[in-house]
Amino acid sequence: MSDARLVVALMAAALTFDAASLRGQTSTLAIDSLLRRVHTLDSSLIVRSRALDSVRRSLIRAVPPVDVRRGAMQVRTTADLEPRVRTAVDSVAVLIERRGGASLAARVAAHVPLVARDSTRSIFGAVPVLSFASDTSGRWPSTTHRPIPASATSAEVADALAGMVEQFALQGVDSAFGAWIMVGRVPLRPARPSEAADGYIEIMTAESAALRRCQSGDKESCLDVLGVDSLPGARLARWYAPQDYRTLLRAVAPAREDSAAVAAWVRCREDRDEPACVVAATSLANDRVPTPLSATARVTFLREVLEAGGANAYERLVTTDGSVRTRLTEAAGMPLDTVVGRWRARISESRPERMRLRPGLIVASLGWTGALLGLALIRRGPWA
Amino acid sequence: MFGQTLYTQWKWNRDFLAFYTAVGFAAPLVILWIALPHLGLTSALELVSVGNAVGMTTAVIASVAGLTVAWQGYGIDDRVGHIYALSLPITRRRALAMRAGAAALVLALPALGVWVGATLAAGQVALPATLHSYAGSLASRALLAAWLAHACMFALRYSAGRQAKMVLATLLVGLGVLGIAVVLLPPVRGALSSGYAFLISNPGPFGVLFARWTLIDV
Repeated sequence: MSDARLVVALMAAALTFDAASLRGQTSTLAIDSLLRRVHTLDSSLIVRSRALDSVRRSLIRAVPPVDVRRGAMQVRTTADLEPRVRTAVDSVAVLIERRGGASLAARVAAHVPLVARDSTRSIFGAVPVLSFASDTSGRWPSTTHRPIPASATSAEVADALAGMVEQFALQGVDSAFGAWIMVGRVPLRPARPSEAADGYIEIMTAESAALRRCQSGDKESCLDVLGVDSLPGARLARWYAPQDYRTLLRAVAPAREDSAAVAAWVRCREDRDEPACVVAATSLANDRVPTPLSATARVTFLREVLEAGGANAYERLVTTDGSVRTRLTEAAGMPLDTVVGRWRARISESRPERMRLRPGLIVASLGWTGALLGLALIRRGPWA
Repeated sequence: MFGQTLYTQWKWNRDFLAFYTAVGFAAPLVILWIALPHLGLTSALELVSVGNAVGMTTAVIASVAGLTVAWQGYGIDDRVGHIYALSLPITRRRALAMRAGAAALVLALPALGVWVGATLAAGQVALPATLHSYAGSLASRALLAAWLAHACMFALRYSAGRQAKMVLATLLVGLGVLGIAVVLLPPVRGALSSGYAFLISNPGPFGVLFARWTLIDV
């Protein structure tokens, strides 16, 4: 066996060996404790498998040679990708300077993202892609980004890198705020039109009494459904009215131990039995009642906070200590009620009007219809 | 002469037109009658889903109506050796232009059926304040889609003549080959995807067919 293979084999053995696993084979009478032990060993195995995979990757794939650097942003890539990556890094560095300031620059500088050619499986063979890793030095990436097509433009590469920067931006921020935002990133890029339209559709079609109050101007209810503040009372009473229960029960079911509630849940869903809906909904534990709004709505609200706060909003967001409300208020530099008003106004302006017949569509459709008819008319030959 | 052409078109297609107009009228009502008892008039998201179902059905009806009228017009003429068309004291181009104009007029009937049916259906639903019905917009799209589908078949039949089936088969095979090329040849995938995106989006030729079709939306 060669030296390199011996080293790899020894490393693999060292990483996968766990003396505790031997003790895990001793019999224990309590089934629950055995199950817990199995879960612990599973977790241990997953962690060690990841470590082993990262060692394999580092042995097989060298770090790309080209170093592209601009401001706090440093990226390693290959020579053929350098022009696209350089343009992308320039635009991302501008984003960091404008929206993030020193705090974001420090977080970004702690990483050296990697952009390289790779391939991914498709139905018929492999497809070339550009893969992104957040670190060249770490054993495994601290953030992830799905690959993009190998033919991606510099703008698409910039978008992918900016997505990683948004994930870096949440690193080191306290867990309560991380849990509130749910998606693991701070929205620094401008919102896409489809994102705003999706937000509008979600808010206008979500069935929640609290959301309806929010739409009619009750800012406290808005902050409640956004998870910033909690109004007094149980979640079910605060967020949902009885007419919303049937839709709510499509998303969540009572605990399976409560057979009466489960039977009511089935009647509610299948027979549209309103009293059964009430029984099933009221049997839900408070922490099982889902929030009326998705994480996307919180992202749009956080984006509004950052835009209201101006250039140093991100800095204040991550350096302020305290509750989510305190952080958001400091970041926005204005009362949250005002931000809620701005957020609601922006949502209202984002109505997609998907069914409006635009003149461009009519002209194009009539134009193509005329062109196709013209194709038949210009033929000079016989009828058949 | 145009009146005579219009009458001929009507005579050839009235059964089909009556069928598509009736289906276009009934589809929104039937879909809502089936769906509403399950929704209980409360679910905004589900009402949007039902609106989508009505919209998709309408798109199919309008397209098939357009294709049928073009196919039927040429088919009847072709079976008798185009004697009727040849007997007219006008040029081929003028006759075809009048035939296309007459088809455009009669294709307004299924769209009218859609509009009346969709308006009645929307009137039966107590829509939440956040939702709106789009019966007029849906009928307008149906008319545009019917005209476009008619023009596609009209161009195929009168340009290719008796080779129409072969041309159609070639087009279908060509599309299949392009579909396989997208999967097997990654380098051309970008260009083909861009071409496909152009075809199905505004201002591409089939933008109106692949735009949003719904009766109920935000």
